[in-house]
Amino acid sequence: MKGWMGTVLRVDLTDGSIVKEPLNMDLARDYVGGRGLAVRMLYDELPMTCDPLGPENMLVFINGPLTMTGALSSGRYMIVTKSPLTGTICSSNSGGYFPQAFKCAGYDAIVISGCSNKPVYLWINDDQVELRDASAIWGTDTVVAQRAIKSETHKEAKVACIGPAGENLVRFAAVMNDDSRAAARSGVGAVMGSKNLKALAIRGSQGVRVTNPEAYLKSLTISNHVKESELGMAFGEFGTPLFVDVMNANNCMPTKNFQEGFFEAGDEINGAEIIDRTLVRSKSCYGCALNCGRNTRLPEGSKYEGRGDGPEYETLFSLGSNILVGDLEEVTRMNYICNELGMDTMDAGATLAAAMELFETDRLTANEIGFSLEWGDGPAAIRLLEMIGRGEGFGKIAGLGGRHLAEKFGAPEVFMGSKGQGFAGYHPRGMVGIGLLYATSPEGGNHTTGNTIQRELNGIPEPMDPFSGEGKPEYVIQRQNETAFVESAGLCVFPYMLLEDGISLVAEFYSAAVGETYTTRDIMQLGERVFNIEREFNRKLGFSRKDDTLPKRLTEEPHPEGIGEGNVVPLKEMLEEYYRLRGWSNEGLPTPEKLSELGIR
Amino acid sequence: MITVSIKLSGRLTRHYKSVNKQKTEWATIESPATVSDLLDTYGISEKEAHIIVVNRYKAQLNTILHQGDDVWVLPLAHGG
Repeated sequence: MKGWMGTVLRVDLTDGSIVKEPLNMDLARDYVGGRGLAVRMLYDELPMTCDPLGPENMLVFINGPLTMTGALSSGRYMIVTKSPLTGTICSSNSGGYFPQAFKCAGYDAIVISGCSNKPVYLWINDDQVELRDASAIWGTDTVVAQRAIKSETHKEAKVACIGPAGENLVRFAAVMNDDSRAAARSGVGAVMGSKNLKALAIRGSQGVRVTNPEAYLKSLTISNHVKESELGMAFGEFGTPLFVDVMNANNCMPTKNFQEGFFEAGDEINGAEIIDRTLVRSKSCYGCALNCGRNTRLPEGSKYEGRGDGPEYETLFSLGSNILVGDLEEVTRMNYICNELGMDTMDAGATLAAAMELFETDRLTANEIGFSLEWGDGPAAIRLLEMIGRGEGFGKIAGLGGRHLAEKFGAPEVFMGSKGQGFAGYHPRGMVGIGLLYATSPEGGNHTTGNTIQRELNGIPEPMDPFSGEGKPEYVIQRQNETAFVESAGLCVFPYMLLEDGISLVAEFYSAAVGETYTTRDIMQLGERVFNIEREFNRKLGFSRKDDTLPKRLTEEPHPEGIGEGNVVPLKEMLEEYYRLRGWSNEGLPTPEKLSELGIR
Repeated sequence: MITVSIKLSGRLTRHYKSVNKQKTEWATIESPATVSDLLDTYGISEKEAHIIVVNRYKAQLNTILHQGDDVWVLPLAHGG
């Protein structure tokens, strides 16, 4: 079967061994690649009780059978591991051009185990693979590290690296590639740091073989269709910051640690404001027509300096509305700090929001932090972010994540996340399906495992009442299964979720790559298998219904003035229906019958 | 006649009448007027107006406008 490169690279950092082995094609057929295949590999190989930051944990860098095939937006890769933030399985994905180099070097997956006794980076130049000393770049930020490694290796090398946050084991440390693209979520950067692995640098010159290359000519037509659609043009022009207005207008933009859904200063940090004040150019990942990336620069005369990528919508929410900072320059500076130090802006924001609420309620004092931390105080937020990334003072405590912080200071209810991971920028009281998604995601508060916006807010293809739980379990399951496949195949979810027939297109591309016919139903079943193996992984670690929770703020405190006023998330009712439709027990665990039906052994 | 504020988002901002880019602008329209009447004066089609919000609550094209209302019109968008 084509699509896959057929080789897995295994690197043991403890003894420095590097071994190439053939890809297990039975597993690849059953779990596709990317997220699905990596989870299955870890399910089989990982000592479940291992410390996520110990040498026994494994880190799988993996692309998918559609990565680099010519399929629309096929420039994605994933990092899969046991998360130090949540203790669950996690799959953190990123785009850019690193995935292209990775696959073209001839590998489907790179499995990292053990722990080096000194800082190293992995240099892969097609079939030449070596570990190199990284002592000289340990401690550098992600921009400096990427430049240094490129100059040491090859000008065409693509680098994925950690910054000081990963080295300091910040539980929400990211892995950065292509300057500012981030595999940000769940603390994958801390796992790299715990292994003394600063970076992977890859140069690949091989092609990817597919069975029916002509099928991908369709990508060009669809690409143009997507690009020229109203939505595609909006994405190209405004990027994801377009969503500031959409969420704010719908009273769904999480504000003041999810106490509210409307940010008065939304106009100061929206897509139009970025175009006016900071945008240098838009940019895209490999093979993508959407151009949703933003390269920006803080303007001359600004109180801060810098140039980089973003902020994306999720950052505008997490380091903007959710901590009441409505100054675009301050939010942009925070975004650059997170990119440079290598941190997830979303969990950084969730942690800051929890800290600000703790400070407001006198549970956390200026003495403990080192300074006051009022809502909306951008300079204080910037200072705390730098302390977190560099592991200094109170930053060491905050770097353990928002859940830990809230528990330590006696108010676990102020952490807005599930399973220890902070929520994304969609207020569940204003669209309750996303609440169910957050609660049941294998890795906690993650919106990318099956966003429900398309029907709940956009009404596409059919409208759904965003405030009612009716029909949401079925819809969330559908989105979770679709996304599980898309992320396993090595695609970006964006364009496929914009197209009404997106999943049939994915089935077409997948069939054309591997040379066997897959229907939409087949694709959905593969996605369901992936989602269930993740659940099984978590079950082995003791996760069950008790962990599929939302904070009381979302289920008991009514939504304030505006659209959805008075609404709460009917989680209990939705969960029961969700488990029934999934074929899981009342405890939220896949039944033996369900596992057998899906061929999970 | 009534005067309402109108705020346009995303690519709809090209319909603003003011030459300078504004975050909102004021529109005066003969009363009684609906959202649809207001959008007509801006050349915004029903298809383009995917989300309509008046005074922070969801509204429809046939929603009657009153003096001082805040009208916000948004196109279709997707999450990130």
